Amino acid sequence: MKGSVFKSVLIRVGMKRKLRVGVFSFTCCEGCCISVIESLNSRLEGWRDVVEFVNFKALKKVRKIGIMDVAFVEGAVSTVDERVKLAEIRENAKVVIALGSGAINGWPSNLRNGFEGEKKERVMELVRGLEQMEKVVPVKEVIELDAEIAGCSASEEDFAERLESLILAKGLSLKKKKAGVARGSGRRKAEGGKTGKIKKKVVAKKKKVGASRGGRSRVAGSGKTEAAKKKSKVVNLRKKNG
Amino acid sequence: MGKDLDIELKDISKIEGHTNMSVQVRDGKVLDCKLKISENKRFFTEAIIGMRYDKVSSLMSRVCGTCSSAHVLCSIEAIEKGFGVVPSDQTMRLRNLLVNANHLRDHAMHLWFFVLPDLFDVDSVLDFEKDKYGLLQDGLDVKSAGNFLSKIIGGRAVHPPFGVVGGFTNFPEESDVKEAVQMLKDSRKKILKLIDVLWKKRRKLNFERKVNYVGLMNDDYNFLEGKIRGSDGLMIEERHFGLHLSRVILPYSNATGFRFDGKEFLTGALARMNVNKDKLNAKTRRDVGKYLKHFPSDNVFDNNLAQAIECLNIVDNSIELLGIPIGKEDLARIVPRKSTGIGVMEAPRGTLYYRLDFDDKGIVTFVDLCIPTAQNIINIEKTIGAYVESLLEKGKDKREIVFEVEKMIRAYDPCMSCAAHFLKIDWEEE
Repeated sequence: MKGSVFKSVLIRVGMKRKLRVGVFSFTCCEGCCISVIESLNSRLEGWRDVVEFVNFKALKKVRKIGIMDVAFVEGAVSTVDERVKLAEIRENAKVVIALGSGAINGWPSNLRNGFEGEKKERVMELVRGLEQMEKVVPVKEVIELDAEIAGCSASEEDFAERLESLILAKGLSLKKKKAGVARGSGRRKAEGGKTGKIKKKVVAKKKKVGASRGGRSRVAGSGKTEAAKKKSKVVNLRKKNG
Repeated sequence: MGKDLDIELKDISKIEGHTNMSVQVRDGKVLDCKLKISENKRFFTEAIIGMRYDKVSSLMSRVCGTCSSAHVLCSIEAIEKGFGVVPSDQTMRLRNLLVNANHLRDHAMHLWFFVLPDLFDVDSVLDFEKDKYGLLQDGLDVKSAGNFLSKIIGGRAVHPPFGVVGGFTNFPEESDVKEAVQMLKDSRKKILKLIDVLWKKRRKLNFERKVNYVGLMNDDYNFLEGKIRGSDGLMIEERHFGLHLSRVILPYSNATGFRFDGKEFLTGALARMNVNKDKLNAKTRRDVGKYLKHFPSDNVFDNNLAQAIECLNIVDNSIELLGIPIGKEDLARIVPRKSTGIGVMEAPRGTLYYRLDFDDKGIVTFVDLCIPTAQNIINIEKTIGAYVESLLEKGKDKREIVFEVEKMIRAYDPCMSCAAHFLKIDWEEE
């Protein structure tokens, strides 16, 4: 009895030491979100004790946006409500990472920005009727980002790699993967291409890109005040739009 | 004197995309039940007008991450039918494998991640107690099998690039095929275990309401080819499917609804099972005979049981398809022509319809799509309305009713990403 009480206290203390993660979808196909869910297939066991999904509509009830270590955002921005929500996410997350093409450059939700003539007129009438924004924009035009994970959709491997580096950066450790060795090797092969060599190249390239964007910690520190400024901008915009 | 009640469900979780629901009850009767799809429109059907045929499927894939293979394959079918391209036997086999992989991954995600938490009264699979870890791991493994099959055949699980107009641009290696077969074989008992869990929980989830069930009927329960069958006895060619559909504008939603022959109907796993269960793989039928007896079913919660049985059928069909060697093959020759092409197939959530018109250079001049979830909206609203009334009669309180309504919405497995992204076009205009 005493033992179990002790254990539950330990668990509670342990629960505080988790990487708090949010996953948010904006105007998109939600394919990156599928990649996130698929990344759990071989890794949930290792992440269970060190990751807490604070907000993730695909997996749990929608709640108020919580305080997060990292927020992953997928999709482009097409409404004022989405701008406001992004600002709130920025305010609550130490690190915000854009997941996939929609969030990074707006494609393909932004295709309508390029419509012309009669097509444009027809679509814009609906856009206004539905109270969407005149132009669809990528996330970085609304809030400051700390990093991007490219792809359409972003790959499970790239997401998992980034999440695990954040887990380690928080001083948490990853459980060693159990079983599923044969499957694991196949999965890597299928994702990285036909040979291990190609996979290595991909990883090397990714690291370079990461370095050129600058370290997370630097931006995470300065990002907050910037985000606060951006938030007020967004709120003003909301007022303007009634 | 009956009860008055207003229910507003905002941002319903554990479904594909964004939606709200409102139910208005006065004097114990449901006056109004609305599914308000709140996905932001992305105007895909406008974007592909003026686009060359060979760019269409990779863009349409982006309509929906979870149903991406279905959009790829259905648009390809429409293009090939328009240009008179006949795909090779191997291409059809690979396409069947790709759609199977998509359904397996998608059904597994829905069943284990979205439905099981409801059955065990927790918010999320992440809240499962230790004794359910094994059950959850089963789901992860089945998902992995679908995911892996999709990768070796289509190149990726989401937005697969290898399937194109005329065939495939890449082919799996023998070792990959072997591994996929092993993963599928390992999935069998895990799916059977899930079917048993769903079965045991089924008694609590029972609400019958008869409608017309419409789905593809064929000889081997595949998702690509066949005739459209209605449980009311109608049997039509795929290409005539669109003629039986009429669009219903829902002013409160970012999606449109549909009627089939002027009436409410249901498409999806339950409809397929109701019209085509005799054509399931012999191995599947052998192992799930006890559950199959309960189809045709008018209980929408059985949609989940039907999905689980389909998972097993996908496994058995796919193992057979993978038994035939796969070799490298050139793409079929494509000669664009002025034409109308129609693609019809079963996406995870029901019959998907593409009509594409081309000019003589293969440029898209007209497009019309009909998405399964849009076809089901009217049925979802009516059935939920009736369900709420029956719950009120049983004396359930608002909190219980809200949870039950959410459960029923999830049982339908709607996909809002798909449903919302099309411009409203008046069907009569074409």
